[in-house]
Amino acid sequence: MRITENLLSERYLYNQNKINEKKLKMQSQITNNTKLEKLTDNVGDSLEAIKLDANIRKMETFQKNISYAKDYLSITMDSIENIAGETQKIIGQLTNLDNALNNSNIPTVTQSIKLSLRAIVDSLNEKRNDMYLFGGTDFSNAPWSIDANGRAIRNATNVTGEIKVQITQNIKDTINITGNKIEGTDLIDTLNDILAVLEANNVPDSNLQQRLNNAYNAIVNLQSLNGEKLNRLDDINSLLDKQMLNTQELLSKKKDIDPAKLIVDLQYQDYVLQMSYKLAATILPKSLLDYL
Amino acid sequence: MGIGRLLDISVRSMAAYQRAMDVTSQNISNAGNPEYSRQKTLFATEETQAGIGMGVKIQDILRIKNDLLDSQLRKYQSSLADAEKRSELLQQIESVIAEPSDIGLSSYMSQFFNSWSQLATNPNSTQLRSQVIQNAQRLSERFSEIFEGFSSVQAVLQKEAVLKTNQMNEYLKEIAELNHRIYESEARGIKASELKDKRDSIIDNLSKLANLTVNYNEFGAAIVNIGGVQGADQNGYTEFELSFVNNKMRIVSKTDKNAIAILNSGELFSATDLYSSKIPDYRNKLEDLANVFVNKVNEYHMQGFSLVQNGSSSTGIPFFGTLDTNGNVLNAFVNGQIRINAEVVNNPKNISISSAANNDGNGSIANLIASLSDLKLPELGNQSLLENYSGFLNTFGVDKVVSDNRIESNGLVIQQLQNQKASYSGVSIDEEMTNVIKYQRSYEAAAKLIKVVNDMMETIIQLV
Repeated sequence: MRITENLLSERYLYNQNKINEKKLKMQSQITNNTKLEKLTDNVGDSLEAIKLDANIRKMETFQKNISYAKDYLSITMDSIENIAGETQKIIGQLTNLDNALNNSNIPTVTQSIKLSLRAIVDSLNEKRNDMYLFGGTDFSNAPWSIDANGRAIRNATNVTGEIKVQITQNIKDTINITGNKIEGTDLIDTLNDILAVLEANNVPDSNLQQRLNNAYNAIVNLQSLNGEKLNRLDDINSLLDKQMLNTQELLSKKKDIDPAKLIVDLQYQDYVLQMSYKLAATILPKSLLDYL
Repeated sequence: MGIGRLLDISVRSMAAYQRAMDVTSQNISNAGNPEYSRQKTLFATEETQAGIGMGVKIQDILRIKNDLLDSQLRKYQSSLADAEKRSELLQQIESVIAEPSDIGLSSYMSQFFNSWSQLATNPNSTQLRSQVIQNAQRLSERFSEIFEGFSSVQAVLQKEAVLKTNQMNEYLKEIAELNHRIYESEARGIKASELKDKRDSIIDNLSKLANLTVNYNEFGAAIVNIGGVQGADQNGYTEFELSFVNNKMRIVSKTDKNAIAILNSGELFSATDLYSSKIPDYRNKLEDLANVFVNKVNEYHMQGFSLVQNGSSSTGIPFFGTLDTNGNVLNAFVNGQIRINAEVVNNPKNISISSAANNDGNGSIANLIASLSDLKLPELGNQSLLENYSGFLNTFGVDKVVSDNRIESNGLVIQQLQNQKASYSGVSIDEEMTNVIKYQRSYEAAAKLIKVVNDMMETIIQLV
């Protein structure tokens, strides 16, 4: 093969250009700290990164939803605790009335129970972000109120609606205790019945008191179910934390550079470039002309 | 044999080597000119006279050229030019698509659907409703930017195609003129090596614009065909222009619109192919995706009920577009623009996410819309929206990578072919300098011979 001047210089420039291209790419990757600056840096990895990124964003949303659900459940918990507390107070007062000596206290107890019932209704009408905690999904009116006789009454709203929140890819959880579940405890009706007996200047009989005990237990039961739900949300949140960590690690493997390796590679390319300069400086200007 | 013949031989020899030195000096002076094909002096022995040698003569000055190599080189150069232009233009689209990044469509799509999921937790929150609208607006803007990107690249392509076609016409005109001059020159027995080099260089440049074939006729004229249409010969050239045939950009003869150049490489091919085939294909894929996206969101949204306003909630409100009097959704996705219903934008309470009337706390529809991000949709061939978008990205990415790889592979082949060409047709200073020494020595020897003859003549004269 004849070796001509143009051949030498073309080949030198071609190689030089290749080395510089590699250097430029590495420099850019180091500066931006990513291997995937654009889609075509690696189509497969880019698509995988997009998918992983979407998953991370989704998990972040689930965690936000969980955080919101936990707030909602905690406030619900506080309300139920208030209701249980007032109920317990009423139970104590009724137990005192069982003693005939205390019969003279009936009007006072009646008044006190009326106040407790009002407090319970207030707790049942508690709101979070303009949403009635026990009002289902109908927020047009407060679910309960106190009538002119001091009895608790259910307003004409639908309290059965469940507020469902997406907490994982496949789980939508109900975060509210619907009004019908409160009604299911029989607490309000029992208290209304007790007030009716007391206003007739009678002491509620043992059946009525038992109904109140049962209602109290049902309320405590709701409280404990709510607590379990809170724990479950915590567990799911921890699970999401782990999943997120794994996904972020996978994403990092796809996207992030290995700075040490890249810098060594860059130095190597620089070394090759310098060698190429030196060789070119030795070979390119030499010809027979120099020796004639 | 007379002494005078010796002088003839010497003079002929000196003339031959002087001419050879001319050729060598022409070679040396063009050593740095990549378009130049080296010339070689072909020596021959003068015909003998009565069995006696008559010295040396120059039989021919050869232009060292390998037509097969040239044709291969042009083929790959044409393919490389196509790949380079394609890659450059696809890179413009790639930067508009901006994936993977926080400003890519995938990111905005995720944010859009996630905002619905969040809204389901607190359905009557004005803040979360506004967030849904904001994310929808960002997504809509992103779609528009991409579609506008396609349109602006197409506009650039059209301008480039016009420029390149004009450039091609210029080249063809020059080739036709050179063909004529070469014919005239060679008919007079004058070698037209330099003109041929110039013509080859123009043909090389032309090959970067379009696929061509070159044949040489008996007059030494290059018959150039562009995509099957004759472009130039020794008599003239064809002027081409840009034309739209069945909505596709084509390069046709100005005088015969039916003479369409069938392009398969070169910059004009990349421009016409991207304009007429690739970009419309990308656009269609994204339009299908946008249509399904808009229709699905509307389908769910229209089933939902808004927040209670003036005592009742409303239903049948599209999230995108507006309703006509017959209840049909209009203008949801027009000319690459996704339009959010003004009723929703102006009043976020109209976002309809309750599955029951007058039920402000019901966010079932929001959950349904959020689930759209993963739902396999028959309209998209049982792919989710993100999967379908990934499919589009994959198609686009593969096109760009194929172009980049072609640049790499064609570049390598061209490098090899150019090496071969440089090795075959290029000038080697060492070789030329060796020739200089050789011809100089021969010239000196011939001159010396004259001196010897002169001495011999002197001797004879002194005898008289």
